[in-house]
Amino acid sequence: MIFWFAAELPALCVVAALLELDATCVGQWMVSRPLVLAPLLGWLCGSAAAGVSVGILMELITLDDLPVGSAMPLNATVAAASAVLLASGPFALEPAAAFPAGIALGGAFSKVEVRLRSARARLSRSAEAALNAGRLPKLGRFIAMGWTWQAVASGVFLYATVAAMGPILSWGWYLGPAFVRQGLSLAFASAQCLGWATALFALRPR
Amino acid sequence: MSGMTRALKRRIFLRGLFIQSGWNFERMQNVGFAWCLESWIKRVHPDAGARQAAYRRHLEFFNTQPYMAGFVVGVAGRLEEEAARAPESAKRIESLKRAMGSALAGLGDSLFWGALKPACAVAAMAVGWTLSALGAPPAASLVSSILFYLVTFNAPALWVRWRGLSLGYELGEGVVAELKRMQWQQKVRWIRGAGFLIAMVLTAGPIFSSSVGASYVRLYAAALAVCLGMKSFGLRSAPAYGILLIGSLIIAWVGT
Repeated sequence: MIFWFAAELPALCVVAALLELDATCVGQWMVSRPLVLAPLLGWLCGSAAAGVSVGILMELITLDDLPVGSAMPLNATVAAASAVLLASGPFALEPAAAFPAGIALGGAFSKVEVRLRSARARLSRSAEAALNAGRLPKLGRFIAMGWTWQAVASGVFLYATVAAMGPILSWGWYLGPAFVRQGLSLAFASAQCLGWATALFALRPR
Repeated sequence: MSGMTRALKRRIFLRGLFIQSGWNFERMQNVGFAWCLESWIKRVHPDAGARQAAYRRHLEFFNTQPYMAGFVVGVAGRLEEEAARAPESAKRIESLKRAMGSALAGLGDSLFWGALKPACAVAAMAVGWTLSALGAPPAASLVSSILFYLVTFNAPALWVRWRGLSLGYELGEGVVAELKRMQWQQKVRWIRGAGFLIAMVLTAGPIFSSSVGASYVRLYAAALAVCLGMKSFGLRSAPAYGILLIGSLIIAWVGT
């Protein structure tokens, strides 16, 4: 258990945080999409099956969440990564419980991202201040700071939430009333209907 | 010195991959855009005052779809070269950038986010399931579907990013009209149509599976109808799943 919290989980959070950069900051090659990231994380954690099921469902459900302009939908990368990490390790949750927890955490991280994006306006102001002082701004440094903040924020968020929520949710799953377990399982089973409805709706002829 | 050399194009292309690293609510992609053009600005404006003015111009508000930014960078580079020769022409750079950014964002959003991303995702899942049905090992099916997704999405995306720089530079402000002539909306319709057909087949898969009973088919169809209803009301991923979760908990509670 100590090895999980001290070494494995931090390393997995670093991998997830680096891949999360692809969502907005660097590249947008789709390696941050749940269909790619969740099976990879699942394989690294030794829970490949959970990674694949979470990845496919999360990918489908978030297909029409468009990162357009200042719109801040649920962060699908953090949602998928946290669901897979919660479904792994010594307090491994059932995917039926890890999946909604991941969606909640993805939604919570989008609020953190709003803060980050507001804070990044400082980079723009610093560049202007340098010009006003008669110097050329070091834009490369600002760019590096932009994606470093993003990676640190997502990595720390993932580690803190998964480490804190994993044991609590795991105990809650077994100690909670039976209807909650049944309800969560039913919701997880019907999530594929929501996923396909989202895919059909996103691709419908217009 | 003017002209976009291959080395300059390569550098701008690589920097373009980071255009959103400085994304902020006040001026959106301004820092990333200015960083993309930095080498070009240094090249065409040897004078410190003109260089500072160019930095200032490109640190103003800018936003577009990230894959389409190359077109605007190419046009802006060309206009900076013109501004180095005739400083009065610098005035129109900012307004042109804004107008082009909005026009290209519409094209890019509908092509990449609205059509290519969902179509590639469902096609990748179809590849995985087909390979599994043909008896391929699970790992091979999974890796094939992920590679399919990444290659089919990134090949056009990277091509547009690379080619956009040259087209923007060669055509200048005429690039938007040229892109409209390429009938992108028709391509978007084709991609969406193909994706929709694949999604239909995959959605109907469980209904026609021989291993499920009639009651499962009825439940599946009912759940699908409810979810399509939620989507038609414009519910996004998290609230739609929230409603599904609450409904499932109520059903389970009533059932016990």
